[in-house]
Amino acid sequence: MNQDQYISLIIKQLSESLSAEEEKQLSEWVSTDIANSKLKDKLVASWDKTDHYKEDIFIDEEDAWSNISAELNSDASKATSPANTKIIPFWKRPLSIAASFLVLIACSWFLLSYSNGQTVNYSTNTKETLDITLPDGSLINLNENSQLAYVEEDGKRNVNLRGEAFFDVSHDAASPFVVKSNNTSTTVLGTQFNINGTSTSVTEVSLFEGKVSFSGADEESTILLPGNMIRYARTQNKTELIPIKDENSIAWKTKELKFKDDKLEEVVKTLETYFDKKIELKLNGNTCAFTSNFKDPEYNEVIEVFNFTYDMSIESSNNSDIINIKDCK
Amino acid sequence: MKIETQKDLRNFFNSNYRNAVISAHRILNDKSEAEDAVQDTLIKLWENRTQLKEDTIGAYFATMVRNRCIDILRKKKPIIIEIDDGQLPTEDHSQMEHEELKAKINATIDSLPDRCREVFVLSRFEKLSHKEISESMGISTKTVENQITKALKVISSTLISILFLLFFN
Repeated sequence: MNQDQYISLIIKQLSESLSAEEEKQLSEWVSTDIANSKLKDKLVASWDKTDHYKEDIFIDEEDAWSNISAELNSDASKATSPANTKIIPFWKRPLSIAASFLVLIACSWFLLSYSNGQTVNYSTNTKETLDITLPDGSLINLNENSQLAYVEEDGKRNVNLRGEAFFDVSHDAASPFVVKSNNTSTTVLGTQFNINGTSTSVTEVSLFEGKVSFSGADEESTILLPGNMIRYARTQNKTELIPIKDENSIAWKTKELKFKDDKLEEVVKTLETYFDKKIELKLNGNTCAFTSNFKDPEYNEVIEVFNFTYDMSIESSNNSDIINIKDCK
Repeated sequence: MKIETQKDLRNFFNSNYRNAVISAHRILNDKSEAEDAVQDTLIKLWENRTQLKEDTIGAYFATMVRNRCIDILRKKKPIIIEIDDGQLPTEDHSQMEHEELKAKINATIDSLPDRCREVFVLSRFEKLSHKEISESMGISTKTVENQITKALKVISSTLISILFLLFFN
């Protein structure tokens, strides 16, 4: 055997095992010449010295666990939204989402690690909603494609919102709860309200219970009472105070659709938003009103009800449906 | 141990995450890829928790992680073994300290051609047989052996001067 073949035996001895015959051959070769012995020692030592390869890496385990826990618990909220139940592995997600994919609260043990001044971040993807409980007991429901950051600072509870969220805030007169969204600021004292900042040019704050004080970029504040909403248009710096007409505006959260003698065109618009689907309505000169209540409906359920109610036909294509009303009676 | 609740999973995570990431990092040579791979595997473990055999969960998890990493390697690019003309780098490291030596070894392994490094890691740290490595990576067992040999030779040339001092002191 030549040297290469003995080297092969050494490698095999290190990485696997040798037969009795091979062991014998190798030890004979080693004892024949000190050069052989040195060569073997050199290779064995090289093998051994790689022991600690990459053992010293810094791993942020808290961060890692929050990713995992978020993934586990977003499955639960995904179950309440249409279609998508597939988990996208972390390494397939676009980097921008991975970067903003920070701490998501699910388990109460996590609350224990809060300290004053730490910012906690939450985010949702498309067709995802997230239930959040803040350390002060406030409940937030985050709608899809939204990001929320929470920090307790200077005796205030501060939230930064991009997108849409429904708030149920714990009353604490000593610590105002302030939500900033698109350069608007909503200060809250124990209340239930919805902030829609999905469009950066128009921010809508709808109040259901309690009292809030709202200010746009000009920092002039408007008091909002229950049953009313503010629509703020950023470019015109215009604050409109209007009553909440559409109960279905927070259907994404309540999962309830309520219609009472509503014009069919309005109903279809609401359905488009709720199911994220394009629906074209052809009335053909008819005037139709619709009354019905739905709890967590499937799209097809609603269409079935339409079919019962009206004389109509429906055409489906990949991204939109066309409803053809022949008669409303 | 059994994994039934998220608390169980957290305990399992506490005992196994770091080692799993070290393994994955050795194979993939990219820390964030390694963490992603391990986190994904943990989620998968969780989803299958009712089917796990209590006393082997740890080992099973380690195997899952390794297999996932090999899959990732396979998806990256076709496995091409670089041809070596036999030239090895030589440097004088007689002044090197222990920590520096470890760092130098790490760097040397990292500097190996991708496939060579991967084969070496699978053999040295994942303790796969030549046959197992050849099947995972779609190369011959002879190639596996050659790559391990090459890796060792490169590493040993890094160690040459130090080795003498360490070994014969």
